Parts: sequence; C-alpha cells; structure tokens
Amino acid sequence: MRAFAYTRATDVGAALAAARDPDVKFLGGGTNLLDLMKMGVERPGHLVDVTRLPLAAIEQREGGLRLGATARNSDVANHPLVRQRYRVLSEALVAGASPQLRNMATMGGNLMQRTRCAYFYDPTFAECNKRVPGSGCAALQGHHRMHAILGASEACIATHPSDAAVALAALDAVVRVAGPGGERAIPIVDFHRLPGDTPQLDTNLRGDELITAIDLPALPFGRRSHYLKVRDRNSYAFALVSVAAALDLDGQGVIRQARLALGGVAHKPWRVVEAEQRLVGQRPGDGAWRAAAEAALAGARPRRDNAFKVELARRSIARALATTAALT
Amino acid sequence: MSVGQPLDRVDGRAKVTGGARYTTEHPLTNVAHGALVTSAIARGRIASIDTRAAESVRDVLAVLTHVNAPRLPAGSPSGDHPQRPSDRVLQLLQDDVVRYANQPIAVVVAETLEAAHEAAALVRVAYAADEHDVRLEPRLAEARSPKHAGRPDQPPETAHGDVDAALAAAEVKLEQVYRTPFETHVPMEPHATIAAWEGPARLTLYDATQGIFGCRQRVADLLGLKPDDVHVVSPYLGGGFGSKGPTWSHVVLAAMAARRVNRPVKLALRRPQTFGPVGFRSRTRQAIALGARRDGTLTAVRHDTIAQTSSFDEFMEPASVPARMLYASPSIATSHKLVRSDIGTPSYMRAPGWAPGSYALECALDELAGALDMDPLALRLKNYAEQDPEKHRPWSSKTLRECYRVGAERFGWNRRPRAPRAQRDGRALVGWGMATSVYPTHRSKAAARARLTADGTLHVDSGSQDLGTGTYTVMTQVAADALGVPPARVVFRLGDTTFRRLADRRQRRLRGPRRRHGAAREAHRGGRRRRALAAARPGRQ
Amino acid sequence: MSRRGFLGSMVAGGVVATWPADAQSADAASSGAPPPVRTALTINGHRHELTLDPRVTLLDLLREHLGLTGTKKGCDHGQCGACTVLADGRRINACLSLAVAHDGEQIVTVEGLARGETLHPVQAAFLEQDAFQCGYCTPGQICSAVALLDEVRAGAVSAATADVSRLAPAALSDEEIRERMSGNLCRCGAYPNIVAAVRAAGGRRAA
Repeated sequence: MRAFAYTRATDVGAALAAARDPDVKFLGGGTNLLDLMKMGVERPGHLVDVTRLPLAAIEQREGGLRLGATARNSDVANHPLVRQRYRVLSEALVAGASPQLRNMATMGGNLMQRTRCAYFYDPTFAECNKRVPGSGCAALQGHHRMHAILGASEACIATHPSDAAVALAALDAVVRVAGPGGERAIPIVDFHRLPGDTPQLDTNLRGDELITAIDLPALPFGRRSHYLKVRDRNSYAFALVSVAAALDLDGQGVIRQARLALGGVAHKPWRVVEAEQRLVGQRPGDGAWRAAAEAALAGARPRRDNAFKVELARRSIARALATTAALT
Repeated sequence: MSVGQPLDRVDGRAKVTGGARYTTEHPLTNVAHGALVTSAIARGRIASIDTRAAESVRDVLAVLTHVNAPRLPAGSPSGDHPQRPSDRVLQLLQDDVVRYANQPIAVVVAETLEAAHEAAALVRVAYAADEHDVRLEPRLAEARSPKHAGRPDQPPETAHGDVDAALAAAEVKLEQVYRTPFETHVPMEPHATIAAWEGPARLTLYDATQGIFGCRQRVADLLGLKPDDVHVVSPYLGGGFGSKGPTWSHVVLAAMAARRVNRPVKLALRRPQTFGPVGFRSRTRQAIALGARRDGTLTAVRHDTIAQTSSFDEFMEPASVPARMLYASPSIATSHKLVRSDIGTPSYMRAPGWAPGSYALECALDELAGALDMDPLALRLKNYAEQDPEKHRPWSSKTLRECYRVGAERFGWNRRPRAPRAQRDGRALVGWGMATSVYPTHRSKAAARARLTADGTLHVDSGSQDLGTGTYTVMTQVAADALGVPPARVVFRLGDTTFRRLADRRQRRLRGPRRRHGAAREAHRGGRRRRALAAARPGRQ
Repeated sequence: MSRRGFLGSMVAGGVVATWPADAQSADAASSGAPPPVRTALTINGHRHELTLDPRVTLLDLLREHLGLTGTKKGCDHGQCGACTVLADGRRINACLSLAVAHDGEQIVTVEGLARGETLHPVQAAFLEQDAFQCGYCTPGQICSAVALLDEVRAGAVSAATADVSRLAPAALSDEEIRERMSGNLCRCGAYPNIVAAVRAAGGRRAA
C-alpha cells in the first residue's frame, strides 16, 4: 500500500472538514477499501476513520427505522426490529460475505463498496474505464459471466455487488448524507448510478460528503418479504442473480402491493416498479410471477457468457415471489 | 501395540494453541522482508525495468532485477533440463525473457513488510509483449511426446498386444474423450522462504517444502554450494498437496536477496502470486477407446492423454498410467503428449496422473457398461487383473475384489434403483455409481536416528515432512512399538536436513510415514540392543 | 563464472546505491512519510502501547511485531479466514484491519484462549475430533468457532436460519454450523471433523 496518514474523526463536522482534501477517504470497516488499497486500485493519502462517530445507532423513527451509517452489517441483520419488520434486509445482509466481514463492515461502507469485476480489481489489466477513464473495457470481450444484463453501456458492464443495497432498494430506503452544504436525503434508487459514459462514478455521493444514516420508511407488510440469492456456491460467494421481494396480500390473498428489486444484474440495485404494478390485483401463482418477470427483464441485454442470467433471473423472481407469498 | 490404535495427533496441542511454527514464523534477528514482483504479461521480453521509485521508498534496502542480479555459476542447471525428474527449470532473474504470467521478475528487500510491498508496486516495467497462447484444444496437432520421461517407471508410451486389431474386431466399442481442467493446489500457507547466510558459503533455509533434501540439493546445485553447507528446516508445513515438492524460483531468489543485503530475508508469496510460478495440475484431454466382447470381457484398452507444459520445461501429467495396470486386457496401448504453452510449468498435484486418469478410465468403463447393459461393478469384476496386465507378473498382494465385495455390501449396491432420475434428496437428483480408485506406494532408502535417554524417553529424528499427513504421530507409534515403550515416552522430530544424511526423497501425501516406518524400526532394533546392554551395566546410558 | 566469482559478486554488490529521487509524479514514492500513529491495544490480556505505521494490519502487528504467530496469513485479502481473531468479542479478519483502527480494544488470539495448561473447550474439541491436518487454518477456525457459539447464544441469525423473524436463538444444526463457519477455509478438507468439533463444543449430538 502507498503510505497514508491516519486520523480518527471526533465528530461529523471534523470529518467533513477533513474531506475537503480530495486525497482523503473515509474508513469504515475497511473490508472493501483496505482490500482495494492492497490491490493498488485505491490510493488515498489520508484515511479518516469514521467508526468512532456516534452514527451506529439503530432506532425507530417516524414509524420506520433509522440505521446509523456506522452500524455493523451483523448488528443490523440481527436487530429484532429489522428481522421482524424488514425481514428481507436481514436475509440480504446474512447472505453476503462471511461472518467476520459482516462484523467489520458498516452500512455506509456496504453502499459504497465497489464492483468485483476482475478487470477493475487488478491494475495489471490496462483496460478498465472505471479505473482509468477512456482506457476501454476488457470485460466486453473477456470474461463477463458475472457481469450486467441490464442498464449497462459499452463503456462498462460491471455489477454492484451489495446484497443489502438490493433489499434497501425494495424497501424505498433513503440515504442521509452530510456535506459542506448541509444535509440531504438521497433515495436509494438514485444513490447508485448507471455506468453510461462515466463508469468511473459509482454513486451520486460527492467526494466531500459523508453518509450518516439510512432511513427505512414504515412498511406494514415488511414481514412478508424475502431475499433469494443464487450463486455458484452455497455460501460466501457473490450473486449471479438475487431478488428482494415483498408482498402485501389482502384478506382474500390477492396482491395489494408488491416490491421487487434484482441484484447481480446491473451497475446498481435494479428496482422494477413496472413488475410490481403487474402484480397488483393478481393472485399469487405462476401467471402472476411470469408477468412480473417479463416486466423485470424487459430491456435485458445478455452477452456471450452471461445470457443464462436472463432465464435465471426470471425463475429466481418466480421462486422469490412464491416463497414470499407463502410466508406465515 | 500402538500402530493401529487411535491416538490424538501428537502435534495437535501445538496446532490448536498456535504454538506450531510454520515457515515465516521462525524467530530470527535482523530479518529483512522480501517482496516478489511478477510479470503482467504471459510472453515477451522486459523492454525496460525502472526501479528508481521503488528504491527511493523509505526503508528499502535493495531491488534485484535481471539487470543487477548476480549471474549464476556456469553449468548451473537453471536453463538446462534439470537433473532429477522432480526438479523444475526456474526463473532467477538471469535474462529479460517472460515465459508466463506471474513469472518472478524482481525482488524488493526492505526493513518492513509495508515498505517492501509499497516498493514492489512501484517497480515500473515496460514489456515487449508477444502474442501468447494458453489454449489446448486448438493446438492438439502440436502435441509431442515428452523428450524426457518423468519418473523412470512411467515411460510416456507403452504398447502391449495389438490394440488396433483388437478394436477393429471388437464386438462392442466405446470411444470417448474426457477433459479435466487446470487445478491449483492453493495450500492454506502461501509458499515462503527465510534465507540466512552464515559467511559466504553456508546457507540456512526455513522453507515451505515437502522435500528438505531435494531443496537442499537443488539450491546447492544452483548456487554452487556444497549440499552439506545448505541447512533446510521445515518442521511444520501449512499444506502442500504436491506444490511444495519441487524447489521453485522464490526459494533461490530469497537466498540471492539475503546475500545482496547481507541479512536474513523472509520472502513470502502473496496469494495471487501462487498461481503460475509454483506449479499446478495441467488440464488434460484424454481419448479412451475400449473394445470388448458382448459378455463384457475387455479385448482392447487405449488411453491417450494430451496435457500442457510450459514453453521451457516438461512435466507430464501421467493420466494414462492407471490403464496400464487396473484391468486385464490382452491389448493395452497408452500414450502421453504435451502441448507447449505460455504457462508456468505444471507439477505434481494430489495423485498425479491417478486423479484425472482414473476419472476418465472409470467413466469410460461406466459408459461401456451402459452400452452392454451390464452392472458396472460386474464389468469391473469381469476384467479383474489377477496379475499385472503388461508385465504378466503376479501382484505381491491384491485385495481389490474384497474391497468391491465389502463396498457393495455396505452401500447396498444390489438394492440401488436402476432407473435414472429415480432418487431425490429435496430438490436435488441423487445418483448411484462406483469407481475403482488406486494410489501407488513407493518405497525408497531412508534413515532415522534413535536415542534412549536416561529418563526413559525415546528420541527419534528423521529428515521427513509432515504437511498434515500425520507423520509426527504415525512415527511416534512406530517408534513406540519398535522399542515397546508407550507413545507418550516418544519424541519424534522431523523437518531438518541435519537429522539424517542419506539420499533425498520427496514426500507427497502419505508417502513419508510408510518409508520412515521401516527406517525407524531398524534404528530401534539397534536401540533395543543398546538398552539391554545398559540395563546390564548400571550407571551407563 | 566460477563459484567463487559468483559469490564474490554477491558480497561486493552490497546495498544497491540509492538513485536520486526522480521528478515526482503522482505515483512517486513516499517522500515525506506520514507520521506514525500511537495506539494502545490489549492483546490476550496484555496492554501494548505502540507507535505504528498506519499501514500495519492487525495481522502483521501480531505476527511480525509482537511474535504472536498463532494467527495465520492465508490470503491477506479477507477471503480465507485464517487470520480470524476476536476484537471486543467479535470475530474479525485481522488482515483487513488496521492495527491503529482497533485502538483501545481487547483482542484475543488463539494464544489467549487456553487458561494455563487447560485448553479452551473449543480447542479441546478440535483435538478430540481431529479437526485439522496441516493446522494452518486451525487457529482461525477455533477463534471463529468460539465467537460462533457466543453469537448463537445471543440469538444471531445466519443464511441457514429458516425464519429470521423468529427471535429465539437458532438451533445449532450441522447446516447452521457450516453456514456460520463458511468464512473459514480449509484446504486439507477437515470440514467434517471441524463441524463435529463445533457441534461437540456446542454441547450437541449429531443432527
């Protein structure tokens, strides 16, 4: 690693002041940032440790839940209110990484983690528009089995690796951010970007801003929710495709409301409102799931080695929705 | 009697308390840290290598490249074909040629690990890259028989009887191609060495090696030292699976770096660097042809293996070897060919040849059983080799038939569902199958030293390895039985070339304990005589 | 070149002369090195006051600076779990932790589990179940298992837990053990015995 200065932020204001220097990066759990620094992909000259800021609380707020940005993944996953009211988020969190990494990783860091595209992750590969704008995209003609089928561009076909972010997208989470200009709220679906012709930008967070919390709005049917992760191994592997789903069923078992988001398929969690609308008024069943999957995968652009993801996503949506509908 | 009885591993306590010392954990004073720089291309030349930024990193002591590395002594077998089948051609900064991705091209030495890694990342290399080719299938026509055989008892080709004629005349034929992928050992402990010189010509290596004597000889050969002046120590090894059998480039590079900075140098490969320069199992393409009579009797067996090797060295994955001895057939022909590719040299990995080769052969037999509508086990029994099918010599012992019988009984083979897709476990389809598995036993010369001390402890030393294989424990039991003492009174030591001085042999899985067993028993017979004498003469040890 | 010539050139080589620092590019080596950081950690009950290069990971602090080599480096990238230690009771990967970031914390490594000669029940279980071969992953497995049992008692969930909305502690089935230990790799393949050891240490019989 390049040598760097290390300081610990005592309060949010001090952290923001330090972040005016573009050579500064905030350090949360370090599970992605330190890894990228060992690989030589990230090379900050100054790390500002934000883990001692009073931002770790998980508390009820306006009928919903506020997750502090420095709350650890495992603490959020295990929190009784998350498990009972936002079940899909707990399931998504424990589907990710390993127990050790979940103990270290913060919620804010989880949102900020970078793609695991092998060409991005290893600076030996010269062609990576995300690392070096304008250098090309080696994945296009190279190994891209894990890469995007939705929302990609010819500049970048990377996917966002977070499981929690997919659940947060389905839950309409709002990212609270502090910056020199004050505080602002970014809906989760606007937090991560599409690659377009600026793949070097992962998020709409500005370099001098700090995530302070993630707000989960009240969701009365949050208990009827589920996260399905499909991957090559049983555990400790990134998603080929994942689905976050929630269903609100009326007294007759008809779908009143639905939430649906996909992971492993795009540069950001893929929330599909059109698919949700297709489900409203339907009875749970293959017909409804097919209609939802159809809408969700509209515009999918498969490539040579990841075309399987389209059908896999369809079936995963069906299974996730069926499981969700059957929850007691 | 201790052998055959359960015994908690004698090194278990050390391992569960963190007390066992692995390669980079031996405490030495004044150690400097090495970091390897490896190539970013697979084939070509280093057009320029700029180490100025690396050298100006604080706490960096030296950066070795092909530009400033010492020339190895003439005749030193780095560029030639090495002396022993298990020796590999190494890359020791002697030229600017890049032959595979991740080839070592520089060594940084620094006071701290952090400085060494920082500097390694700052070595600026400009390559003149050539088109590289790591593929097998498009280049099958280029496959050639190896010029140098691997083990002397494993020639690349054998031919016995007339396979072509037998196949042509066969009532039933099965011809199939099986492919296995590249496999990498990835032991939990990355390859590493600590090199410490004593004066200009005596070297101690704490090395992650499965063969301390092979390491000693290879390093002595390459650096022009007397083997007796090279001391190799490896009491605990964090796995190997074959990858720590040969002596690889980083071992010698650590010694060269230590000489350069006049301090011990600790050099560990980073995990990504263990892919390429320290061996792996080549992918294989195995073409099998079986000819048989309607009743399942084999009349022809052909097994042709094509694998890959590096552009600069030969290693043959002996996948066609099982076909030479597993089943009786009047005609058997086997071959091995290699395609030279821009990869590191493959090497021994868990059951070299036997793993990929028996997979292919057993699948072929299963497919033949299918074509004959015959019980796959019955097909094996039909072709049971009562003697070596090529050499026509009787086996010293063979209990395979008994294995089949007991296995069939215990697994309920005869009660298995015959229809495909008949069994489920939850959502998963579950199948039934059987296959024959073989692993060779090699014996070679060995030695051990036994001492009985006045307190009644039996000390046994032997220059062997324990890579998790249990050598410490097995030899404790053997020694205990040889002298009739309880295992708790035995202290067995291994992993040090000063422990014995006979010809070297490497240890792979399960090899060491068998070999040491004999040696230890002999040593103990001497010990027993001495103890009897001591008992007769009070006051003497 | 003769043998003497070879050895002679190595000794005469000595330390490579330092090149004059080049005109600094953005990637230039650390010229003015950032200040070392003072930190205090309690490791296995002993307080250590240290002044460190911030880059030193907790893993390298233990292994290279403090002679505590029980914790192992298997990948250095948080992927294998061989470096698992306990920080304030939680299992973490020491390789992706900066030592200075754990200032003030209680760190427990494999060397700190036994009480004198008496092994920790998890260590004893690993020994009894022969839950290791080469032993390199073992310290990490053991520390991970120690924390796993605490997590289960505290009611933590995993991807193997059928219903995370149920707040009662999960039953420690073999499936739960495997999932909760999935951050610890073993290339020797001692997994079945590792599961048996965790099961035994958890006080259960086979499920």
